[in-house]
Amino acid sequence: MTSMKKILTVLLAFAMLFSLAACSEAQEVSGNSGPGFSAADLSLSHGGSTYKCDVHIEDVISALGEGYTYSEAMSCAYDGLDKVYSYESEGADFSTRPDGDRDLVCEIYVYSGDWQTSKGIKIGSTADDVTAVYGEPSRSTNFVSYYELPASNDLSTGASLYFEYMDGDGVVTSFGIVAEQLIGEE
Amino acid sequence: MKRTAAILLLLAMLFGLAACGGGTSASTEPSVEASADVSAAPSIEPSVAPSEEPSEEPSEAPSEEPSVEPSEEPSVEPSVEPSEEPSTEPSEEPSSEPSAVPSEAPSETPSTAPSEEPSEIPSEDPNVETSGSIEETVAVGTKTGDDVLDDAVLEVIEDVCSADASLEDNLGALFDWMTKNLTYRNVTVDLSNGYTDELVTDIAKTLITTYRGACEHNAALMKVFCDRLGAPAICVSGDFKNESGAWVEHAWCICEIDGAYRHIDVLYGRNHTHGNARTMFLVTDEKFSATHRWNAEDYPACE
Repeated sequence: MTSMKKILTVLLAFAMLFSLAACSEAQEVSGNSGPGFSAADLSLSHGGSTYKCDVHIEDVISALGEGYTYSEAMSCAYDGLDKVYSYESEGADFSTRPDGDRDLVCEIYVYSGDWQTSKGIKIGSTADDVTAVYGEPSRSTNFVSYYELPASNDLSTGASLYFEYMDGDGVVTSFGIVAEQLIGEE
Repeated sequence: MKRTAAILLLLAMLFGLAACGGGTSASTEPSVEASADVSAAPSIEPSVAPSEEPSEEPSEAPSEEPSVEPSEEPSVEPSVEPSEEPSTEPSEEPSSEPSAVPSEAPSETPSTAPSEEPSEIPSEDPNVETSGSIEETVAVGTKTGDDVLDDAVLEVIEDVCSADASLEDNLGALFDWMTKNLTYRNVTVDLSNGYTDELVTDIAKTLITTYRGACEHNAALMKVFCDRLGAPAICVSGDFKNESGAWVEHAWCICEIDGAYRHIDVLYGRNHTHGNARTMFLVTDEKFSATHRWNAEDYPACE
């Protein structure tokens, strides 16, 4: 009877250990918040300020100053002028689309300088760094990876964050954010 | 006693599994989250607090930049009067496009000066690939000679085209792919030498490798798709009429399919037809001239 109790005790201990071990393994997976991408990731920072799309270009100019070059052309996509404000010394282009008599930033493209994403990706980071914090891209080629949000309607293109690897070696050479393109309203 | 032991064992395992279930219910799988409303919260924000996300450099002190409230819902009203006299002349402004063409595979196609004669769609190149099944049946036309571009083009063809489909249906599938997967980017293309093979290759490659481009990029890539499927095409410089009635410099392509020429305008179809992009696919001159204009003497008639 005593040996039976011992056997029983050992069996109970094993059963509990087994259950807890399985549980611990599951918690290890489930407890990891992991990489991911959301609307909160659609910003870029530089020099202590954070920049997003869908703001008026005057807001950018007040932050970065007047040291930009400017080009414009009638838009093939929107009704009005496409404009690009290039801050070469900061390594960034701000593209706009018409918004009444003002202009909204529709893309921020950065190619040099100390720009970084909200998760710390910079020029010189690797594709592995990108995947580690944002997860698998929505789509990609050997030269670009896109993280896209769903569009608000079937005719639009969702806002996105993208990374370019134009040297083909998996090192980020440039990156940017793009506002949702509301095609259906044009 | 054995019965008691079995019950105790069962209880122990149930207890363990219940505890385990509580753990998995808190799972936070990585995911691409849906946007709540991207336009609702844009701002240039001072970096008040260091990011919680990993960064390779320490965050600097908070910016003195004032917080900027998000803009209201953007309007699409035109900001300028209709443009001055429209022109079909190519822009002489040098390209301001960032160097986005992959560097590892420079174009092998020689640049050619623009012809004074009306553009002609080159006849189909006999130098076609027949090594793979899709290449034997669908991608039977001309390659550009640029490996990166040709491979990327073939990959899309393999994804969206079918050996059982007609040439028109396969071209339509590629047109649809372009309207759905490519986004507009405001960049200037130097057309001072016209659509040389080299330029077409470069800008088509930029578009298919980065998914972003202007009308010239879309025209070039559609041409490359058409050529690859055996429907030789050329790029067209012209104008389209925007919602304000202004003529805007533009680009599209004309392809030859089953002995007839037709216009294809991917970007206009995508951005100006309220979801009816296919109305800009394989269009005759008569219909196309309602929204577009071009120098008819320079291009084949699409009748």
